[in-house]
Amino acid sequence: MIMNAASQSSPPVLPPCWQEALARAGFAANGDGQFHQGNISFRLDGRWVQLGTVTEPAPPEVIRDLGRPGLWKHVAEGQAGRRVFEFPASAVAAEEAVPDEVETTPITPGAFLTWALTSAKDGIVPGWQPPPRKLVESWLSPGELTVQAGPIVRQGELILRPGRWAVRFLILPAVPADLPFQRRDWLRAVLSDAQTLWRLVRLGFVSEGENLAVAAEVDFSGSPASEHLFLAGVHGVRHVVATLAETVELLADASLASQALKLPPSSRTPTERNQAT
Amino acid sequence: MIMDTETLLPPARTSSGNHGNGFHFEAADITGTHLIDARDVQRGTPAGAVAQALAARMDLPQNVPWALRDDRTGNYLDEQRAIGDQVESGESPRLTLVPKAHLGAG
Repeated sequence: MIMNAASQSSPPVLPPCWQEALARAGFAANGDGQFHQGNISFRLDGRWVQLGTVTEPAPPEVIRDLGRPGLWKHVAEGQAGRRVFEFPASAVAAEEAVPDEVETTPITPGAFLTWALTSAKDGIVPGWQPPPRKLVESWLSPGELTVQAGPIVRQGELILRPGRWAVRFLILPAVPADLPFQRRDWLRAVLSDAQTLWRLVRLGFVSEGENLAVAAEVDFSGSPASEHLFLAGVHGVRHVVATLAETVELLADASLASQALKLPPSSRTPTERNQAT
Repeated sequence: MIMDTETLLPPARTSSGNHGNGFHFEAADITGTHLIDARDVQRGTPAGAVAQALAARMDLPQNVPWALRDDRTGNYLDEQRAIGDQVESGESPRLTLVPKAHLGAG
């Protein structure tokens, strides 16, 4: 399960390879298990590497990251928010354990840090190209880009073109143009919660021809060609799509009368709601 | 019981690229009891997954494998292949949902 979780009480010891890579990238330790470079922090949070910006004081519009290169996304923290970039630490360990037989960028902690820092400014590592489609497709099991959850089925798209590598699903193909604003607020709230709760996956609205659609994506643009990371992203977005599809479809069904959905959604984050119950 | 449904599937996307816009078809179960108007179907979706989703939408048993038959040609759709590669979208195609039953042992 790849939900965002609360921090552990004692920070794990950082492997030497990470310490060296962080030092080379200009990060300095601050003694609480975190490293900082400018306004970006780094920590090993259990099985996940997390980079994050400092908290922004203004309430964020969380779902505004689709199409940007890399894993950075906004998450809500109380009434504020920040940007995070997370990936499984095992992606580095796994790739180091198995020598890469394909001619791709070496997968080292430094490569991941370079990716994270470059994409923090919406940039792509100079000279980066996505891995060959044939290679990426060989990592997928048959049907792995198809999500069928009860009466709903969604087909994912593997985006591989110069400068972009991503997996994207349309959760809802067309938001009705006349959907009441309250329902749109509920859609935004559900998508914002999901983006905050689930690692790697970004959600939001995209234009699909004449339609406004709801999409979920994981963007690997600029990433080392890591099968482990790619599959973590695919599994994450599949889970989010399977979990959200029926809810999103219901919220977008204007013919469904609901007094409850005429009320504004809670402005509290999922963590705050859990603490209140 | 004749059922009309909401959008079943979103516009076309596949693992190998965009096949164009989604398409629309009618689907019925083999008894003709349920009739579904499926719109904005993603052409790249494997026919087998579409069949299972339609069965769920019709409240048909989910522990049964389902297949789709093109009423125009009589052909059963290959469950592994994209539905949009097997059904022509121009003439309001109609598909029938059929349980994959096998007679006899083995």
